[in-house]
Formats: sequence, C-alpha cells, structure tokens
Amino acid sequence: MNERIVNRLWVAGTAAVSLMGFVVLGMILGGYPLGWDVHVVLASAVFAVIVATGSASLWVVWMKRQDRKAGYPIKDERTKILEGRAAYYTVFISTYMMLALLWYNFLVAKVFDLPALTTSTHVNQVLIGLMLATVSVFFGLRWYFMRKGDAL
Amino acid sequence: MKTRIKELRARYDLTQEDLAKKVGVRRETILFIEKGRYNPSIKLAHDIAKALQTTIDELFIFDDE
Repeated sequence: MNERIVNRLWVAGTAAVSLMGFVVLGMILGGYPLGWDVHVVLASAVFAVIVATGSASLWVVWMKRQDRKAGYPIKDERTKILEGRAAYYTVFISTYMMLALLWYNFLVAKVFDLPALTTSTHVNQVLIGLMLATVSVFFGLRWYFMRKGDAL
Repeated sequence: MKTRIKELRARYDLTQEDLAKKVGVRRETILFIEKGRYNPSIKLAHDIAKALQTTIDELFIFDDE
C-alpha cells in the first residue's frame, strides 16, 4: 500500500481512537454528558494524549523498520545536524519556560497575591508539564527544521 | 547554490531512492540537496559526484552573489 495512504490511515485511526477514549473515559468517570467537571475532562484528555502518543511511537518504530528494510540509514548527516539544531534551541526555550515559572512563583504571585505553585501537587504537575513541553518543543522544532531545509 | 543532480540522475536512469541508497543517506536528503535547500558535507558531495561519475565542480553550481 502507498506510504502516504498508510500514514493518513494511521493518523485518522489514532484520532478516532483517541477521541473515543476521551468520550468513553469521560462517561465512565461520570462527567459529560451529565456535566463538565474539569478533572474528568482533564483525565480524559490526558488519556487521549497517552493513546495518541503510544500510536505515534508505534508508527515511528514501524516507519524505521520499513526504512531499514528498504536499505536506508535511520539517520544520516542531515538528520543528525537538524536534530542537533532542534536540541540546541530546545535548551534555550526550556530554560526560558523555567525562568518564566520562577518569575511567576517568586514575583508575580507575591506582588499580585496570586496562588504560588509551591505545594507538592503543584510541583509534580509543573515538573511533568515542563518535561512534556520540552519534549514537544524538541519534536516540533525537529519537524520544522526537517521541512524547512538547511541551505545557506 | 544550484545542482545538476537531477539532470545526471536522469542520464544514468537513477531515482532519488537509488542515489540515496548508493551514497548511504535518506531519500529526503537527496531531495533537499536537489532543491538547493540543504548544503551537503564535502564527503557527501564527493560521494554523490562519484555515484554520478562526475566531479563536485561539475555537480554544484555556486552563484557568486
């Protein structure tokens, strides 16, 4: 089957399963259609993201196996350069996000009397959020650089 | 920078996939080099030139401006 068709089917399948997971889990947890409790929506959304991430990981493994079977290297000089560049910018963007969080916690929250993110639950969530944001930034930049090219 | 890769590929009846396998890179890398959107290393430029039985000078056309 054509690679493009397989890719589209995979994306459509993943979207459908994630959406179903979001709706079904939400109903099981007793949220919608009865009501829109924010925790139920968040739990369902995170579940949908987990399903989508798992599917994307399987897709990447499958694509790499196909490439290896066809005789292509998994990485070549271009992918190494562009991944390096994506990682380089990710470091700066992640540092910026962490500084912004510190700035909020130590300055804005105190000056404007807003809730500081200092409880253990908050810290856990913020750390996980930052890690996910960092990974997302890296893959987003990698995708962008791969599409953009690298000509001088 | 312009290249004559496409022209020489056609001469030797090579697809982008064939050339990529010959020089050990991914197909997209050949595509981006052909479009002038990726500058290959000297080693890769040499390998491509060799695969197309030409020289780097003949393969890549540099615009002085």
